[in-house]
Amino acid sequence: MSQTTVGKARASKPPSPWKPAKQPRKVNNPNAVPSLNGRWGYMFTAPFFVMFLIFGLAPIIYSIYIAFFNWDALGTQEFIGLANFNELFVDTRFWNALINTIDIWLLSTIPMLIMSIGLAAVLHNPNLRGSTFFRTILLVPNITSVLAIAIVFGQLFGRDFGMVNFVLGLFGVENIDWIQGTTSSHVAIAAMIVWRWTGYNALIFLAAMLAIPNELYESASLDGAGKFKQFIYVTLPSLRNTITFVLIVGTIGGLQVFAEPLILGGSYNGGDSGQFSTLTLFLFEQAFVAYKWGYAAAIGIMITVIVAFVSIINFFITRKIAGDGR
Amino acid sequence: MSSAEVLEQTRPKPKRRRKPKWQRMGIMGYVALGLVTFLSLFPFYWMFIVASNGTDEISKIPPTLVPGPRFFTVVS
Repeated sequence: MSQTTVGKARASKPPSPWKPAKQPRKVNNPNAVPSLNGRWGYMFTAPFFVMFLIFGLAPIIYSIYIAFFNWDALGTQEFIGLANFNELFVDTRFWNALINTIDIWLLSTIPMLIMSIGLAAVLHNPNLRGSTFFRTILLVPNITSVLAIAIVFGQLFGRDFGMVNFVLGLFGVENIDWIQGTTSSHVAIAAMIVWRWTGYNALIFLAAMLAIPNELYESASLDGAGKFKQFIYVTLPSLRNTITFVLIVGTIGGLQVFAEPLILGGSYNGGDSGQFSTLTLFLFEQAFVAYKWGYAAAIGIMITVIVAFVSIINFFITRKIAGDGR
Repeated sequence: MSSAEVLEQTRPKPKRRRKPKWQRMGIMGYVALGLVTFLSLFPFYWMFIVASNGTDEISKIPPTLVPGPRFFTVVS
């Protein structure tokens, strides 16, 4: 009875989702917790934000601050404005590293996307035998340490006794000096990245495919669409958001590739002529070998800008390709 | 692909158990998965080969592909 009257009274003025409904003050209850009016929420989220402010935001702002200085290890700090950026834009090593990074990223991301969507489509088949086994195997490369794998791949891609050259030799291909060449070293690094991340992305795509309702396939087949057409017109558009996610995560990771070229070359310069020097390697070299911290901070900011820029481009390209609501 | 085949694939679970399991899974799918499995596991196997052979063994043409006797010596 009283409930209905309350409901009617509230109907005229809907309760605000932001403010808790006013409780009648319990004067006689000594155990009543003093109301904080929903401020407990701030306290429960505080641990993350405090940690983020100290260890996340503060270093970022500080590195932006450093980027405007001529700052070396001995404590010389001199404000030079945008000179670091001016120097960066005419530095051939920077452009070399940028081109190498984008090349490696393209060589790794595109095959990885195609292969992982294909693998997910195979694993999607409900009649596949041993699907759990294959899913496990797909994830095995991802649990490895980058360093150990880079060493193994360095041996596999060796010039004289590498397994890759041996197998290619069976088909009559001359020994390729994978590490010394520009494109070949990019291929070797991209192979590591592809090896490591294809299975992981395939599982993400598989999860997205399992969420596609079967009715879509059913009606597509009633309309006479074959398996390939179903894949093009049902599966791919449904995967649009997942492709965007994988591409953007891949962009962020791929443009910051560091450990693979470092181990493959054995030094910070990225090969004898810098043929696989990447942006992060260049940053590390400037910061901790050349001790030009202001310059390195400027490189870091440029990497951030580039990653954001490429991610935005990717976002729109994916929208275009995978179709936006047809 | 005919619509009947697709319907069969998308049929709810209780009805599917009457169907032969291999029917809809092409051999190419298994070939692809087998290749991926091989490529995924080979670096691990290679690690074991290198760990269990001497230094001179791993720099040979054709490469050694069987584990050598030195694994426990190296580990211990």
